[in-house]
Amino acid sequence: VSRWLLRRSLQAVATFAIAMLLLFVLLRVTPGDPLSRLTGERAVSERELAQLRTRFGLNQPLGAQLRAFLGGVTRGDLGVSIEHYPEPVTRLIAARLPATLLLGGTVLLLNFTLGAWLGVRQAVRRGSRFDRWLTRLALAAYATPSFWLGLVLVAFVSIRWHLLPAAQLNDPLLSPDAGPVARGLDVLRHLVLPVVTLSLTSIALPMRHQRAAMLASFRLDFVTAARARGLPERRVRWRHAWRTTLVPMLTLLGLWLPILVSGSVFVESVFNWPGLGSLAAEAIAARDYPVLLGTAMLVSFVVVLAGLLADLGYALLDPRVRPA
Amino acid sequence: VPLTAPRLLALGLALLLPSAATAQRAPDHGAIVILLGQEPTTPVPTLLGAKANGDVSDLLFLRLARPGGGLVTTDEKSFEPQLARSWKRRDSLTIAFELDPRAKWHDGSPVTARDVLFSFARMRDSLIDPARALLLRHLASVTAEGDRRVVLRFRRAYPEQFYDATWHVQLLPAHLVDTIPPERFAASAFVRAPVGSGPYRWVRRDPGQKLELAANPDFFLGAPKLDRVVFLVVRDPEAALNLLLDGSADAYEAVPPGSGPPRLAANPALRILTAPSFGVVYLLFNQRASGDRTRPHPILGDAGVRRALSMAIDRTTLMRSAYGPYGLATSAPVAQAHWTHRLVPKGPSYDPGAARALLQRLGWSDHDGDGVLDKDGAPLALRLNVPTTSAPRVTMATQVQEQLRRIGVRLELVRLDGPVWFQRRQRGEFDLDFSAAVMDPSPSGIVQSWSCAGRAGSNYAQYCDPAVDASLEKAIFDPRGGERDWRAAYAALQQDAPAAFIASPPTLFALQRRYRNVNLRPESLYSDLWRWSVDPARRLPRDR
Repeated sequence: VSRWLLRRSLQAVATFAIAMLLLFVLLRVTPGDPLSRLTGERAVSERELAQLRTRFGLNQPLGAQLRAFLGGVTRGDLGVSIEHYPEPVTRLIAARLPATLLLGGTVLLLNFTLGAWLGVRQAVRRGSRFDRWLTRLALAAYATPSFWLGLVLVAFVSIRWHLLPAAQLNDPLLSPDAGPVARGLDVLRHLVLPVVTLSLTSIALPMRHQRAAMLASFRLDFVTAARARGLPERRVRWRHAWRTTLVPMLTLLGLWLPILVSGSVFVESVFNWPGLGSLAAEAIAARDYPVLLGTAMLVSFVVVLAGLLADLGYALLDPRVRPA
Repeated sequence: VPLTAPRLLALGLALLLPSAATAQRAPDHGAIVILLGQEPTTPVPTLLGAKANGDVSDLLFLRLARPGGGLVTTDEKSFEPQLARSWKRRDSLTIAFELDPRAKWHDGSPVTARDVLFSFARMRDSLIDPARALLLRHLASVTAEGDRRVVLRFRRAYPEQFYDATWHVQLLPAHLVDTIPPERFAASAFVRAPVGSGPYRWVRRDPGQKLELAANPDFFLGAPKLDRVVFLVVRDPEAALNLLLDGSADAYEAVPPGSGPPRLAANPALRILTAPSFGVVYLLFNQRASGDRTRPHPILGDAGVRRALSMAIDRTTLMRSAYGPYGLATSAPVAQAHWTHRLVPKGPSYDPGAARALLQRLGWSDHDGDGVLDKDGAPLALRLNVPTTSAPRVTMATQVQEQLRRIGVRLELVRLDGPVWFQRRQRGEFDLDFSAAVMDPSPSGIVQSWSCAGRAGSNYAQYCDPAVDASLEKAIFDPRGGERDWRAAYAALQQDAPAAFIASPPTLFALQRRYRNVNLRPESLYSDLWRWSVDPARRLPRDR
């Protein structure tokens, strides 16, 4: 088992390293000057630009830039942002990560609890009016663009009815003396609309997966046997049938985990949510190489880690895939 | 704890209620949340650059004096005192400033001559701030006479001496900064929590999110009435409009001219103000071959062709489509807020017939009947680079294409995202470029883009005409120079048509109606923010 684990971990490290190297090279060969946003519409002399290029090491050959980047990574230093100069990339990511984890985590939790529960209910009541309507609604929501739904919710809930804030993670004028409860409630008020937007447009996926897996498991012999033994239906459903659906649901969760850190660019933009998705999108628009590499590194790391964890999860849940 | 229905109801109500109000304030005091499309990362003199930095810096740091309301940069009598209480001209090269003894840094230390000397030394160092050092090149020396008097001596006499002496330098506290090496300044603790002498003091910055300032109650020109100022970074204009409409924010300076005003009109608590800007939008004609600066441009190297293209552009239509009722046409590189704007001669008017006739005189005719003029077998075909980051320019580009088609010019639109557009402009890889420039309050800034000397800087089209240079030199530097010289300089530029100057769009500013004494200054929108107050009858809970 330890050899399998070591081999799998080495594969993960190699995948991560190749992804980073590719990203570094592709970013540098993409056309566009990262100094464009720094200077705006102001008249800038060649001398000033040269000074800025020296500051950010952009005047160095590609190989030297790569060496400097790798050297920094080994020290835990991802460099300094060009657009947010002199902010270090690690500090920018650390500042944005909590908002992304909060939004992504809440959506993930909601989708894999409520979504899974609804999927089970649909499977149990297969073909009923509840099943049919929930399928239609879920697919309609899934087909709706998240940014459009977000704008509609803001137009009604925030602007017309003044029930919840239109954007932001918190009230910009919240008193510095506000206690943790007031702060927590404030964040919750701001969290509702982005979570509803993201959840409504994505919950169909775990719901449908769960429904299909549950229906498949209802047809298995041991479930029929459990029923024949006279076990209560609730126990058959949850202790026997549902447990076998955990492997496909775990696969889905593994695929979804990176959303926790990559965020949703469109929803973050509509709600001005200060997450990593919008940070990465701004970095792309500004060609802010260090920030872009930093966020990409984080996402790549989580993708690779999620794959590794999913493999471990299968082994834990299903003895058939465990290495000898 | 079980989630019973009453508890769920209570939690729901708590979520819907706005946050708790803070301590009580005077009846006309309050707070303001200002939305910015760009983040102010280093709002500290010598590290400015982006406009957002300047907006915040102007609340933290003061100059010796600032231009008066008319922004006449050559009239030193119209300047208003800031850190200098008074000034006296000793001769045509020397000005002595008396510092206001009431002026203090936010840490309580007095502002002294040492601060002035230190700040000028930093700003004149071309290794620290090359752009500013260039602007201060005519300054010969800055000396102190005691703690409260500084004397500035210039190398030459010229009308904007006083402007140069005051506008380019915001004072830094020498006692806090002089131990920081310039190369470490940007990453220093001072830049993370700057100490200034202005009406507002630093509270905190959350990177990428917001920056907060608090009123400086000891401000020597009068305590501000807006006690808290929060600059919120909102990149998406739609999200910014939503924050204004739901009342979470109070002001926004980048209202999109197309969709913004009709949406904001739906909320009676909001109003739209306009302020003249220092921005000019123009179609830049490359004088050199695209991507090869050693050769003249095969088509646009001819001033006659440039003039014809300029005459074929219907500026009124362009402005109406891009800026609605807010645009202002211009036919020279001068913005609406420049004091010389009124001196611009009426340029060549929109006349596609005359434009086509001029092209024919220059040998351009449609010999093959394909609708495109040609000369010696080469079609009159050009490419226009347009930055997709500017919605008004994207809108106008399509219309320019159609307007030029009518006179037989084939214009290909090349839509580029910001960094690529910037890169191609820097390298001279364009025929026409849809440019915009934001200038200083001084009209003399045009030498950076429209003179032979500017070719090493922001004269991306490599335009150079010694006659125009001579006109500009006379207007800017002749001590007896005046309005007549500016008129002549603008006329020379119009005749040579290095660009088709199109518009000087104003700043569209959305503001909640509860603010009074609002004055938006074109050169620094928020520099009078400390004079703003809140109408007691319209106060909101968060103002209290």
